[in-house]
Amino acid sequence: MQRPGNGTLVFILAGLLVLSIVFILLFAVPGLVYPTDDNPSISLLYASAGSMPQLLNTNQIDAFLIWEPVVSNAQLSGIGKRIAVPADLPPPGKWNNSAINVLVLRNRVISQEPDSSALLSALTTAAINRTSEDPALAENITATWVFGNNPILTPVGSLNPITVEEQSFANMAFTARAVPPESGIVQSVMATTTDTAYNPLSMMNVSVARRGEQFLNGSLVPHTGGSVPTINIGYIPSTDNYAPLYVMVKDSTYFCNRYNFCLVADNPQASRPTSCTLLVQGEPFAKVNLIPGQSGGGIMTTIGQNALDGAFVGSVPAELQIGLGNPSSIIQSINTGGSGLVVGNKAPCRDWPGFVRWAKTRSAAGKPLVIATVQSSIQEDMVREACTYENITVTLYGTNFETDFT
Amino acid sequence: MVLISRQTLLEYGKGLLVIVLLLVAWEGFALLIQNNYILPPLGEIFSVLLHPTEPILGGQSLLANTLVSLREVLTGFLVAAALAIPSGLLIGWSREIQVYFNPVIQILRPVPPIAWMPFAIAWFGIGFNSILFIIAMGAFFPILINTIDGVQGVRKRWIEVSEMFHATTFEQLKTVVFPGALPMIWTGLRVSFGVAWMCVVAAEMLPGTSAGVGFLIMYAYNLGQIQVIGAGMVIIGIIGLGADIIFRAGQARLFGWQGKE
Amino acid sequence: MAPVLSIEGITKTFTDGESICRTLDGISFEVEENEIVCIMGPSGCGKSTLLRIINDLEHADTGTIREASKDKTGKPTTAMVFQDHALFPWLTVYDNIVYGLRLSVQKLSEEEIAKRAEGLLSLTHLDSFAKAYPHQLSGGMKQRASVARALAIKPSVLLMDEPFSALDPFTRRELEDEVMRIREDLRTTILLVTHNPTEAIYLADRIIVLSARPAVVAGILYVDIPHPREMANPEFLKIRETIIRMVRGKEGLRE
Repeated sequence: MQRPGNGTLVFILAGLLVLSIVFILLFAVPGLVYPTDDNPSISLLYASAGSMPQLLNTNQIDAFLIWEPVVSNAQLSGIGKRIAVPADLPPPGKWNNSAINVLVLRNRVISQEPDSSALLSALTTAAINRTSEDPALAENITATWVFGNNPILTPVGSLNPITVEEQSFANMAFTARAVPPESGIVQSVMATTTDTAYNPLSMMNVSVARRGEQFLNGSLVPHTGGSVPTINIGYIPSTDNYAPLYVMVKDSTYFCNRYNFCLVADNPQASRPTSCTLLVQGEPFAKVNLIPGQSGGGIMTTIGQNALDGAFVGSVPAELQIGLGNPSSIIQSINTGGSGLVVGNKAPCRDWPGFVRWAKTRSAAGKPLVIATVQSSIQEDMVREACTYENITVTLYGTNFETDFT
Repeated sequence: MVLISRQTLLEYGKGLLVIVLLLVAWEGFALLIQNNYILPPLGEIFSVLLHPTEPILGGQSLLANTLVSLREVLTGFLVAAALAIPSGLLIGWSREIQVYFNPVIQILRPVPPIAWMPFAIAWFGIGFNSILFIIAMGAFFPILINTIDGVQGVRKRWIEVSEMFHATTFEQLKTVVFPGALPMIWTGLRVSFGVAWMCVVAAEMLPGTSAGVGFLIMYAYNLGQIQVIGAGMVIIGIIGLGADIIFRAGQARLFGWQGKE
Repeated sequence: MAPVLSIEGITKTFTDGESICRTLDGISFEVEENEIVCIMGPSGCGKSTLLRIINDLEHADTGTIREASKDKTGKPTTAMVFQDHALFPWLTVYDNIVYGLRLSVQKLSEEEIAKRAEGLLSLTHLDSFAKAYPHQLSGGMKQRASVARALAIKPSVLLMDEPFSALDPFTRRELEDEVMRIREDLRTTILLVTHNPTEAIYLADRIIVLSARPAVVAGILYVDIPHPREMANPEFLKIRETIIRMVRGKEGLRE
């Protein structure tokens, strides 16, 4: 094109040199090369709950660990088979009495609105009991809340949401007495970030639930003298694990009759009510807004920003943030179980030991399995702890970064 | 070889002054609000920036994540340029071809690259390839449009000169059209890199990625560590600024003749 | 001896939507070797169009152009110097000058090209500016480079389209002298369009005057004055008057 002058030539050469160095750096550092050490490995992919069945269906992943009803939906849609539930995952017995989801409230709200806080806790416990007593009612309510009571479209036709819920509820146990788990993720993040020692129990504020119990047993709720506070509570509407919340709102008549306090939707016809009123003796005690969110972590951050006052949220996201300084506390558990490990129908395994063998075989062949979870969820914790127990290294998909628990 | 004149330095100094004032205001408000989730103190942000090789929140370091994003954006950008420049030369050169392609270009151009994400995952699978597609989509149109405009802006007289000397069509494109259009193409490349850089960060925030600056920001958000988000934003801005400086320096060097012919 | 260039019956009509403009209405003349021929006429009568047709940048509707020498591909070997020099701003003076030589149609080695370039640079007094870029040159130097570029391919006829109109009178005179010198040194044939009668008389062996649109050859004047020609010369003034009358359309006769 042109015979460039000396200055331009130097510039171009310098530019090419810089570019080459940059390229070498880029491709050498976080390469797409799978680790070549002898340890079997598995590749962990972060995805959203809704995308996982599709990813499995198109063979982009080999397995996923997620909450209900995504698991049941995938099974009944013919996309995959559930081969394990948390109770099956090692370390043995770890998840048996571990709270998978919890109710969280910001500390300032607990001190400023102690009675409203206690009432929410009371209603949660009551709703947990109601759900366990009358599963059919809960399934119905949850089907409407989560699916809108429309038929679910699947690759093999359409599903009745109630069918999905029946399967899903069989995999969930609702209880207010489970304990926040010791999470490997929380342990390792806290170890590298803060000086505080990790103790899940110290993240709880049991006084709220205790006061709630009193209200359940008949103690009178003190009058507040007129002011009606607004309390914003977050939750993830795509999961069955918050069934007690849905029951609390949709079956409010039962609670009003039995306990003299209840949470009533301002628009009962809405399939997912947002603004509700906490009634005590028929009088408004507090306004409660139910705010849908996308991820447990995001919800916890919003609590830290004072834009939410509390949430129904996963136990690991809650512990993670509280451990890093989020000024809130775990009030009580909501459920255990409620998740499942799903693989494709043609996968050569029927249980967790089979899955481990499959993972090791594939890793040896240079094609590690790809398993998807929601990032920073208890399901991610389950995958990583189980794999570590089986001596399988977990790397992040698309990198050769090995995660571990320090 | 003097790349930066004293005057440029003075101008950058004035810009720096405004930045410093904003930082002071930030720190003031942070002290006032006392809530790390709303406004983290500058010290915390700098502490992240000053330790770029330390693992962040149990994951990869700031440097490693930045390199991942850079790798994605450079690859996508180069792929887009390799496709857009020849296409632009052709479309700008031939009125015939332009009439065919103009409507589809004008329809596709305003679609934000992120909107292509579901298709990207469906066609290319989750991970690097789909992000590459998104970046290439974003980077493609500024280069294409600027190349077309550059070609059409080439003075007719220059083309007549090459015709007069009996240059073949290919020689005309190579010796007159391409060099004549190059300043505008360069501008297109500069703009396109900026777009590609924005795309990569947004694309990484979507599920399916495990590394990169966008991913780091989402991860930090999930853990309520807003100061890491602040550090990520600073990195994003610095790289954007750096790229712009490089492109502009190149423009001054290579196209000193522009505007003076 | 056969004329270097012979054009006959050239007509050209421009249609622009509704309006039809018959610009050239049958132009015929010949150019002998080593002549300097100037074409003059009122504005818009098609002088530039005629030159562009000769240079193959436009096609005539009817008429023929015959050239004594053609290159291997049968294409005419004319080269044009434009009023706005039209140098490529991204190339040095050297690269501009040898632009035509580097094209595939020429098939010259780099040594031959360098040799030719050397000669042209010294001919146009641009030796020390070989590595400069056009935007660093004055108007006169740019035009000289443009001339060198055209001469590089050794054209049978050098066409010049109002080459000096954009320059100041002093530079113009300098370049006019240079054109004549080039004609002497290289034995070039030159066909030059100008709207300046003084310039035409100063340079030309013959002046072809075109009428207004639709243009025909209004007259051909021979300039027999020996060089250097001065305006004070009565012959000079006489021819000048004739030209002006012809251009104004008051005379249509050959003298």
